[in-house]
Amino acid sequence: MSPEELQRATDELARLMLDAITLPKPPAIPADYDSVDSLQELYAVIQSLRQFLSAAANGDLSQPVGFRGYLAGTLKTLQANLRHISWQTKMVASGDFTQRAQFMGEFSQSFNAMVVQLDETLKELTRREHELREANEALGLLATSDPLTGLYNRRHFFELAQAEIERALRYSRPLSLVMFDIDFFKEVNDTYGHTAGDTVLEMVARVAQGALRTNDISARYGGEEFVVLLPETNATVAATAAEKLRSLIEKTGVQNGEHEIRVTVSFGVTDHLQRSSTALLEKRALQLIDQADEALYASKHAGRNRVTMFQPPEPERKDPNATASLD
Amino acid sequence: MADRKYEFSWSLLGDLELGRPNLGPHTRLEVYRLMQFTFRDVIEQELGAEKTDQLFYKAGELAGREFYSQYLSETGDFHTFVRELQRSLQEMGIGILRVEEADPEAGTFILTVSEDLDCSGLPELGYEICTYDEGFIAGLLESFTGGSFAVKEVDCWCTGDRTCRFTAEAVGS
Repeated sequence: MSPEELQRATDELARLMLDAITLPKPPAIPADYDSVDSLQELYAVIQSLRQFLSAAANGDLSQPVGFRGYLAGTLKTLQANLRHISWQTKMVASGDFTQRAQFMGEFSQSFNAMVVQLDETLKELTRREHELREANEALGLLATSDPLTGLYNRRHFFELAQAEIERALRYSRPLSLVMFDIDFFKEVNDTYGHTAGDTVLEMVARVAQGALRTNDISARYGGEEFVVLLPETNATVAATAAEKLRSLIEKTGVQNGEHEIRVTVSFGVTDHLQRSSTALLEKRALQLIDQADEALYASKHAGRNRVTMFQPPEPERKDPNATASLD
Repeated sequence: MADRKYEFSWSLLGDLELGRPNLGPHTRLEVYRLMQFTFRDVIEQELGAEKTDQLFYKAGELAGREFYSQYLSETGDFHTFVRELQRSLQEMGIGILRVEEADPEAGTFILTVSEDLDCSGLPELGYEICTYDEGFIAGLLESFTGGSFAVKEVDCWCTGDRTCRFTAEAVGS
């Protein structure tokens, strides 16, 4: 082969390799070089490299590297590292925020910063969710409870009472309502102050909660006025429970400095749910309240510190003011 | 085999603080490789290459099980096992372990170990050399899962790669 022919062949081969690397579609090796094994091998390596890099550039990390040596090893290291990062990302997605990338330079720093931030954000969200839940629970409590005594407030009592009235009517079950009121409470406030008065209210509520059943519904109805709804209970049993409560409150003192404050309580009891009525539940609840209030008034009138059962008016009763009382 | 002379236990590693108060517990990597490759040379001369590989695999398995008992037996789930294993291998200078694929339920894994103790920086020889590491990984996986594993190195410095890649598959039931 002359120097010129050698030059031409070398140039042709070099250009072929360059085209194999740079062109979108690599040219075929001329048939003249079919028997040159090293050239065929080199060309195959370039083809394999093209396929690997093209796949990797599109996120496909499964393409094998079809040759060996330094370049192949370096590419496979890159492939292994990227596969490992993919696996770590899956672990983070499953909630494992302990994953950290190492020895991958800037990629490690970015990945690790992202995971740390995700972890902190999730913890912050969890903490806020917890606070929100607690706040909602507190708000719910405020909406239904009397802040001083912890009993239900009037509004919530009526909601619960309507449900119990409906149930009692549907299943023909007894239902009683007790209303009670602290005797001479104004004098307690005037004598000892409103703070002492609040303490007395708390005591009465506390004693009532302790004496009543868990399914009895007690509420602060007004300033010193309380109501209790007793499901599955007739007036006689309710009056017995009221008498027990009356006695407990009478015996319980509230310390106020050097003085001990003692109070008594008057009660009105009713179970006269008008079953034949077509009135709305709220009105029926008010009817029970009115009845118990009437009986309570009778207790006050009879001397206080007692329990009186409501007596429904009789058509031919000669004395409209006559009421039964328990002393 | 009765009356064994060299049955392994971790206590055989001795009290390094007591034994080397001045030189400490570290040595050069070349010393480790010097010992391993001279062992390979002599054992191969006596028993052939295939048997040598089998023995090194088996020794690696034993080492893997003992390593697990010593350092990893408290790990519970797979994530914790991988994390603790990575930390241990790195701290002890054995290599940088990475997981490419892992399916613990199917018992298939693809792992890489960079800067491997046995082979990183070795010249290209045309074959994978880390048979001891294959056994080591098998011993670790067997200890963690309770099942048997077949581990094969598919990429190695000695095949021209720059990281060692191992496939592991559960065998038997």
